[in-house]
Amino acid sequence: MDALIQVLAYVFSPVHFLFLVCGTAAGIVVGAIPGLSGSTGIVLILPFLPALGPTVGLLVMSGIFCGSMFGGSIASILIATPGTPSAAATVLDGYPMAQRGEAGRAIGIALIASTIGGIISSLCMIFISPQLATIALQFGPDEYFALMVFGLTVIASVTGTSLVKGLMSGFFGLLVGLIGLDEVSGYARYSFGFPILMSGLPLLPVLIGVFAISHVFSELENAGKALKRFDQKITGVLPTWRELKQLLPVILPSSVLGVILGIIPGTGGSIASFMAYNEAKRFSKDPDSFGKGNPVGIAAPEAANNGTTGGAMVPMLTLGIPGDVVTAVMLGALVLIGVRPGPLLFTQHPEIVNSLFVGFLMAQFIMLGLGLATVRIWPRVLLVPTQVLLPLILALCLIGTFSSGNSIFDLFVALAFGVIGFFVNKYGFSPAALILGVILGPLAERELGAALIIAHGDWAQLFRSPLALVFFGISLLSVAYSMLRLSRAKKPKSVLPSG
Amino acid sequence: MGASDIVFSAILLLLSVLFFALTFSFPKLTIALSPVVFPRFVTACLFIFSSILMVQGIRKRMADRTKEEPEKRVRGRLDRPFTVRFLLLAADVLLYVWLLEPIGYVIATPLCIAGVMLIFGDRRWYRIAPVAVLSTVVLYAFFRGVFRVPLPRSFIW
Repeated sequence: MDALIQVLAYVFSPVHFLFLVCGTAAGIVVGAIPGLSGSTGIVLILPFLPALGPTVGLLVMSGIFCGSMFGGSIASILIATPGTPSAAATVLDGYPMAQRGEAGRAIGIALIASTIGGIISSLCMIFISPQLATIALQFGPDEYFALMVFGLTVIASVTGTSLVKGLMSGFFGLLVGLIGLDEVSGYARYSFGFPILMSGLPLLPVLIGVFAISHVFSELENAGKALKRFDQKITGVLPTWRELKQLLPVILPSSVLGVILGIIPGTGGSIASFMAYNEAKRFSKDPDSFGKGNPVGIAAPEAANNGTTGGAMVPMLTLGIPGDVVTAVMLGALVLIGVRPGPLLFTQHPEIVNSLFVGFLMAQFIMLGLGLATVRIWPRVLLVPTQVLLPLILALCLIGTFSSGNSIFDLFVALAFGVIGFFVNKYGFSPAALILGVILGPLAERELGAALIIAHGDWAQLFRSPLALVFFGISLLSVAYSMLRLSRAKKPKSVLPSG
Repeated sequence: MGASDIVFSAILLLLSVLFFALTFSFPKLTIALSPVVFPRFVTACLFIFSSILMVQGIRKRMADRTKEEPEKRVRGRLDRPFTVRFLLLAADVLLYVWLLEPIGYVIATPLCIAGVMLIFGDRRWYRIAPVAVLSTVVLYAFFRGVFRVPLPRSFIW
């Protein structure tokens, strides 16, 4: 009880609460701008993390994560361009509703559904994470190694446009992670005689390059194109109680579906929102009205995509395996400030975990409050010209990168990974798998080394633990499933967009 | 995307071969996990998957040729104006990184921002100038004033 009071006092202290509000507002803004997403928003605050500290940093990141899910729906509804990949399904019914002059009502439904989805997913995260962490506390190095193989394989299998490209991205990330001192022997690998490479490639510039600078390069394809305009007035935002009662039977199961899919590593909001949309259509008495501005077609995907947020946090917090792209960036952010997510986080830093739980739940209510109070302001961000916005983002990325280490070398790394990230996104490779390889590579090697030391060099020991075998088995199954899925599809399409 | 698959797989094939060969210069230690084991595993896997992608790319390209669908081959390619803008942006950032320390943040940053705005197609000087200068000042105040980051100084500031 004392711990709860302490956490509440921490989160509700004016400064921390303000950070949470700012994070949520920033999330809505980055979500609303097509081309940017929650992962970009989180990457942009990475340079400030050391100053903010892990607890406040996580509060801000949670706000951005949840806010971006709702923010994505604004552009989907008003200009038929999803602000984030997770909001793609919202276009189907959101835009026709806006065309009918009901843009405010559509945004209101998206906001309410997102909030309910977020609350359910926060509660699931709060109740599931400690249980899973208790189980994970019993893991030894061999189980941890198997878990990392599992995380990397699953994400590589389900992201990108092909299994081979996903795996290549993951192994390229592992290769990048190998640069620098080997933790076991102390030998500097692939440093080519440069002392600066002995500590490896800095993670922050790599993250900023892959997830932020690459977007600036990608947006060059739209340079010179006119902004999509909207002329609808945003009125009548709050749904009536009667309408809400009609939507709740869709919002609740969609939220649960989002949570379940969020927990599975590598899935995420875009898959959940389309699945929820399809299920809502399948169970509807009037499936023909979908695609023509049916409010259920907005409520289902929005509840599901925000439902994934808490779900995706579960494997990231308890096992150190991200549930989606945004949590992959959050994992990198935590590693960057010296906090290693995993079961030990619950015993060594309970204050961080508890603050996150309360902050994550609070972010949903803040999102609702901000959404209702300032609903006419958020669409204005769509009017900011990209010729102004993107140079500012690039400048922020470069100065942020420089500030993290006062090093020009870091800027070269950020630029190089910006270019690499552009090609990774453009040609169907997986940025999430790449980053996961960079982050998990050194950790996986350390666990493998520890497991082999305990087993006196006996490699067979890695396959004696039943739990490790389960993780290896699921890894193989995910690869087999991915091969089957791709062989069935005549024209492979991206399952999980990069953003 | 057959051609791009071939190009990327060739780059990663070369990279994996190079990094695998470099492991032979690593010291051979009789510890549980020698520093050569993990790099060799990673580079070998990268080699295998790159080879698979290359074969897939070649087969796709041959199939496209026999079907004679030129529009399909063009898909996924970068067009010329985009390539020029891409190279200009990369050069702009590279120049900024190069000049940041010699000429300082206060001079280099507005020039870089103005350059990026031009590359993105903005030609209105009355917008470029205030955006470049104001954003430089705001970023300076934020990083230098709030976070106490020592940004590179120039001869004027």
